[in-house]
Amino acid sequence: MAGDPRAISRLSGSAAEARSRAREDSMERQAAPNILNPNEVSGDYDASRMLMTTLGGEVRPITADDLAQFRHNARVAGRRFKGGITARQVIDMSLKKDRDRARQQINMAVPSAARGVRGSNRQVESLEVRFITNAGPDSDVHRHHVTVEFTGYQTAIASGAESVKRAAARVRKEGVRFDCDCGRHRYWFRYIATIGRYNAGRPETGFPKIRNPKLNGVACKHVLRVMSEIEGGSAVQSFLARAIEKGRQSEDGSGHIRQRQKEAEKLAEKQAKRPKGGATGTGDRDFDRSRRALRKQSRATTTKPKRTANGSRRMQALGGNDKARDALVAAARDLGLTPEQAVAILQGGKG
Amino acid sequence: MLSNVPSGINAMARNVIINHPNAYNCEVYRRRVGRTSADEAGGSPTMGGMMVLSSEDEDDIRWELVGLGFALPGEQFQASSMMDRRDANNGYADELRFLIEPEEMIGDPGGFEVLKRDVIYVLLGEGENAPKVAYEIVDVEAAVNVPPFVTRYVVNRRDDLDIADPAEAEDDTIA
Repeated sequence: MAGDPRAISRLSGSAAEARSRAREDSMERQAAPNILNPNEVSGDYDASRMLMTTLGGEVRPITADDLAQFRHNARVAGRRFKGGITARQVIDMSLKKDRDRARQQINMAVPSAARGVRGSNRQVESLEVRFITNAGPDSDVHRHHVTVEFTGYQTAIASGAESVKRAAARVRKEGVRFDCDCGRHRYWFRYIATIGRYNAGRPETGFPKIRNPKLNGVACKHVLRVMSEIEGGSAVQSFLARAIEKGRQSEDGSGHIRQRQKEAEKLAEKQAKRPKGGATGTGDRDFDRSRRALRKQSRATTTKPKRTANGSRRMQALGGNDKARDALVAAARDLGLTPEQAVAILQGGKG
Repeated sequence: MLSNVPSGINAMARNVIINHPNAYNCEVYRRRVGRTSADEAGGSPTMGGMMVLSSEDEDDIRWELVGLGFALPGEQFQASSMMDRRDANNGYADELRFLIEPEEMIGDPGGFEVLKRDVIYVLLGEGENAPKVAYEIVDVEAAVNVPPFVTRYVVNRRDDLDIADPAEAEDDTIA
């Protein structure tokens, strides 16, 4: 399946689009009448406001017990994210249904621009990278903007001991803060991001009493796709390397880089072409990840033996000959392959 | 010297394995642990010695090609214990024995030793796009009880790692 070309058409206007969506979001939030604010969660709640919750499974008015439960949930969630969050942890802590959606529906995540972000003391503290992903099939927009701040950036700039490539490899394994402009992030996860202090956009102080009162999950499908690219994608690493190089040139880490339209299109197309078989996991995610890493490594490695072994040469000949099925099966039996596997790998595999 | 016997067997075995009509080219891969800090794994502190028992227990690992070699499938079946019901035996399924020789011997540039837990990909063909079938080395046996021993490798078939067409991209999963 090819990616949605509308998602990365006109990369140059994307920053303004992201800003206008953030503004809109902020205005809607200000005008929203039914927000349960922190004072109310801590007990100062007037029951005549008649706010509702879905805690317990059905929509009903909030009670004092609910508020106590909210306080407890927020405390637990806050503890869970002590010490920041890494791309790996975002994926690990996410809900399975979000991961499935990310795999099936979101097929691209392209870094479009990066800039050094200054903290309160005017020093550059982190690198903000804006990613563009395609939107899901039922969405009313074509693309989403995911903002990721890399907190290891300052060290990468200051430490000239490492090459930019190594520094980029390290930065992507360190802490991140993120934000997405989609509804799932806004109504389910932004509150968790705010209390976990890994929020990169507008903070959300209103408890998600309707959508996510138990504070489950951590990231939407767009963020998950982005995190997976940050963790494993070589394109993200080279983009980070470019940003770090630019940051080192300006010494204090400030600077701004953009992705070129053509490269973004090429990258999106490459990402969208990856086969989406998946779902053959064992349930042990470390094990699955390790298997996948090995297969990927093995595919990427091309070797040329000093001499071709006789057995390999014979298999090549048998695989190319449809009439040699019996000989093929007999040879494969020595290797512990079933006849079906032998035929599938050697003859079916070549079409 | 008695150790001349196993050394001689090893030298002959190497010759036989490399030239045997049933020998296959293989690639040997090994786990490397990515974690550099001793007291932290995946952003969380390790709990005493936990999580660091072996590379099996690590979550941050990568795989590295150690080198190329030749693999000769040995006997497929070894005597094994029967189940009490006597309708099956224990430990037969998917267990094979291989004789494996690296292309270069240890001591020469590019030489290496095949270790337990390595994964070997046996190449079923010639060229870059040859299908590869995978085996994990689960044990190394000594066939002669005198150093430097004569080793053979007990492997488990790992069909979940097979690569029928190396040119195809890996499945895209978020795991």
